Amino acid sequence: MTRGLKIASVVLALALGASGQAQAHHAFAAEFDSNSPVLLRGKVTRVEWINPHAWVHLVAQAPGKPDQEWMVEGGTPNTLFRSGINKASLRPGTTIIVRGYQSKDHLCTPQCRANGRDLTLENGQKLFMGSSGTGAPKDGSDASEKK
Amino acid sequence: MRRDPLIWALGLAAVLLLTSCEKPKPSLYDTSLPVLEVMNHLIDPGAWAFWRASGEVTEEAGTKSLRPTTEEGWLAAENGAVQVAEGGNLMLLPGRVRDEEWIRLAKKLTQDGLEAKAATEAKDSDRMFVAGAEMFKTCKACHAKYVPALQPGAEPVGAPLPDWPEDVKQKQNQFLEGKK
Repeated sequence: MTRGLKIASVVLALALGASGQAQAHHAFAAEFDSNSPVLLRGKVTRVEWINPHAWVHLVAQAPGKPDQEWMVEGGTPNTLFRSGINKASLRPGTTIIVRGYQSKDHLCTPQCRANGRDLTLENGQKLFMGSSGTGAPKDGSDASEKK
Repeated sequence: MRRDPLIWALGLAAVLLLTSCEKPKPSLYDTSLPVLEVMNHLIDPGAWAFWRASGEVTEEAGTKSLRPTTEEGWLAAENGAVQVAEGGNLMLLPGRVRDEEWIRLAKKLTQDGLEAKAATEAKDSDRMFVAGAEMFKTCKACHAKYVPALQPGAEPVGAPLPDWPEDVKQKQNQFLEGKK
């Protein structure tokens, strides 16, 4: 790699990192904090089945803490359908347990945001809810990723 | 007669010399804007305008389609589709092409944009949703190849995901047992 190309790569990576939510489909590292893993348990309130990422809204409940609204980014709707996550399994009111990483800004107004990696449904079925090739950490949740 | 080849050779050399001294013609295009700028200011907004116009939102109160309900809404989606289609062409301007795969993906982006436009003109929300998914596949394939942060091995080494709580592990095991 030439020096010029290396510089261009760094500039591109920085630009992606600084470009905010509109670039959310570009790279995990642009928006989410790989050092802030979260585990959320709560009821689904709303699901946006929209390209390029579905968003699952839930009210997370944790002992001794006030209820907190979260919106969790998933893969494309088609990716989720293939994974086994669909409108029936994520009906509003359904309890889910989600693991993922919180947004870099850690803002919770009007709700906290996270990148979802996997979830467990009420029946115990565990499903991958992200999408491959987004630059997310190799955390073992994506069965298709190369070790 | 024996001098003829020499004269021809000298003549040719003179022509080549004169040709090489000519000033390069100015390019028809000004591609000084980096590709990232074109992405951020043209292709991305176009793609988002199109993506926002299909899909559904499910809530307690029911399911709401994101299909445009006004002529302005349809026009915004179609405008976005055209931005993406022509954005693919902009990636093929001299100075921007990197390799054969770049050319293939840029052409694919244009095809995706044109399909998105056709689906919008037909006001076919399902077709728009499929077109949007296909468009994203192209975006992702291109980014995976040309955005350094998305190269294999560039993933951040972060903190591990939290362990599942015991009651959840039990349910997961029961589910797996039930499948056997």
